[in-house]
Amino acid sequence: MNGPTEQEKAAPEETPALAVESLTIGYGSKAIMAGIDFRLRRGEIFFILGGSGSGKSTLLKTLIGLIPPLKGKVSFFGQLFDGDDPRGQQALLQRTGVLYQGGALFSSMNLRENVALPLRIHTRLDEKTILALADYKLRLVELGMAGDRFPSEISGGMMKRAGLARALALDPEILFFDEPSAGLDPVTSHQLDETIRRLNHSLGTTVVVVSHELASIFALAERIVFLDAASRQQLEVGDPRTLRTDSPHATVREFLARGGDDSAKQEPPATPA
Amino acid sequence: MAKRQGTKEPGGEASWDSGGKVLRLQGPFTVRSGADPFPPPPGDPGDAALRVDGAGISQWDSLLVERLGGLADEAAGKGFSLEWQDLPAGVEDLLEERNRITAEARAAGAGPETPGEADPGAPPRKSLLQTVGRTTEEVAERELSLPLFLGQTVLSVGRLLRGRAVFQGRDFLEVLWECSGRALPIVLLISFLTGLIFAFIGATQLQRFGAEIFVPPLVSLAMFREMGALMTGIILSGRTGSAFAARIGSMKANDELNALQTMGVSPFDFIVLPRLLALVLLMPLLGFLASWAGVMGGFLMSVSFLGLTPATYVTQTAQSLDLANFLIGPVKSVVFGALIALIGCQQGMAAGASASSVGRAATSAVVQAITWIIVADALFAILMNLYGS
Repeated sequence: MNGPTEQEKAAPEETPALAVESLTIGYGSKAIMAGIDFRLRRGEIFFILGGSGSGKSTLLKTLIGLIPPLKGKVSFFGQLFDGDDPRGQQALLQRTGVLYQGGALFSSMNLRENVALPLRIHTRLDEKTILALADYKLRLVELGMAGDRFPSEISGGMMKRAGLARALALDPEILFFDEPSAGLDPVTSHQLDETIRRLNHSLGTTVVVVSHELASIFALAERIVFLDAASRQQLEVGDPRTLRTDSPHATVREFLARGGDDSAKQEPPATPA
Repeated sequence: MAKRQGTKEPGGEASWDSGGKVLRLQGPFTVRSGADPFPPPPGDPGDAALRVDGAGISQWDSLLVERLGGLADEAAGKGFSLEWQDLPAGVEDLLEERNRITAEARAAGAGPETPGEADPGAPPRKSLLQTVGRTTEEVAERELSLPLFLGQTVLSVGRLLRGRAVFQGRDFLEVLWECSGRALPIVLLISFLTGLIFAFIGATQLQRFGAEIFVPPLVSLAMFREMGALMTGIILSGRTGSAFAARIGSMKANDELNALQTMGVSPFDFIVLPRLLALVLLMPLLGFLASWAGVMGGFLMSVSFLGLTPATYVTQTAQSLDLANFLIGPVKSVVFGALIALIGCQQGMAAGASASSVGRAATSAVVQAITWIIVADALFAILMNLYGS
């Protein structure tokens, strides 16, 4: 297994942006997945993969504090992310941003107000600056003209981009994406991928994506973690391009190889597994 | 109901001939046209080789495949062999596919052996006792979550008083308008009619003693002490409580509640508080206006049918109303308003993430709010009886 070597590579002297240590996730007393363990470098693009029902979304919810972990630890930038310390948890959450599946925009506010909300809550900036910043974030996701529109008046792709603008409001150091390509056509999905890459490149934002869109995985992911529903544990952490052919787990190889020709363009043709 | 289609054309026919060795299929075998089941081979075929002749099939679809597959299963069970002849192209491939998936399902133990047989993987049917137990548990769990919700709301009100809550002014104004301007006409109409009905019922009894003069106090006391607040509460449960539950339920389905939480905003401050405040502020006003509308209804009835003069009605009404009677309605209204807002919001937040659960949340918000309003009203009646006001 090349998990350990990858993790050594990812754990230099600098503190990891996100560290997950022997985490068990689930609801109440029902564990869905155990032994999740990985560390993210700052500025890395990391994908959480797995089949349906493998607990990808549950892991994401645990990482952003919506449900408590059953066991194990999550820490951001070397600081423990702990539900027993709501103030500390909130402080860390302000350094993260989340793009939910449907954008999760507040329907009673227009896009500008949606983006401005985190700034109003967590900063002491004056009104004019807040609105200027909100417009700037909207322009970052190419929605500069749509600030006055309401969520019910825009398309699904625009909602996701507006949700991204809101997630970016406080200039987070880590961005979480919940199935960014779900419900988008391939072109729009590709544009969103490009936006993610641009933000990662220009702002140095660490990116964590829950997805099973292979095109996005091979276009963006530096490393992935693969959650397996059958064995209820993580099977691999590593580079999807090497895992596709070299993973000892047939499940992982199959999952990644299903991308087939599309991903083959970006690397030397692989020998069939 | 839509007229059944496809009955014009009779279904295909299957019949054995040549001494029960060949099954001839004639005509269409489609789901739409329907076809009688294949007759069983005459007599006991033993291990004979039987033939199915499909030359006469005009149209076919999955019905033919399923019938032929069934016949093949029967053959396998009874030990006779089957041979296909002149079947339309593609049918044999589909038959093979059918046999393969049937065998796979059996091997996995997933499919029922024969149609209608209980699936061993399905949860066993619950007994009455189990159903009663489970339901009790669920109800207890649901009702116990209400105190928790109340506690959170109290904390949220505390934050508001200290000026630390993220309060949505726009939501507050929207709810204010929704439950005042928009609810007022129906509240007034219903209360007006309630007053009119009270006057009518009172009059039929009181007229026997020549005591019509007591109709005005009857109407005004009933409206100010009971019906004004109660009718408003019931109307707003249906109009506003269900709207809260549906709105919050769909916000939850869209991850908006999660987004608030990760943004560091309490959903209680942001969602429950404006709705609670709006209803607590508006309900007494609405209830008060509703009571007057009821008195107007009684007035109309008494003056036009009972022969009371307007002056008598006004004096009688004025004499019956003292300060205590004026205050009871608004106090009740505050409690009713809080109940409607809290139950509506709680049901919305407890809703699951599907479209049907949002509907269920709205329904149960209305039912629970009305139930609790009437329970609260009964408690008020007992309390007031104890303190003699």
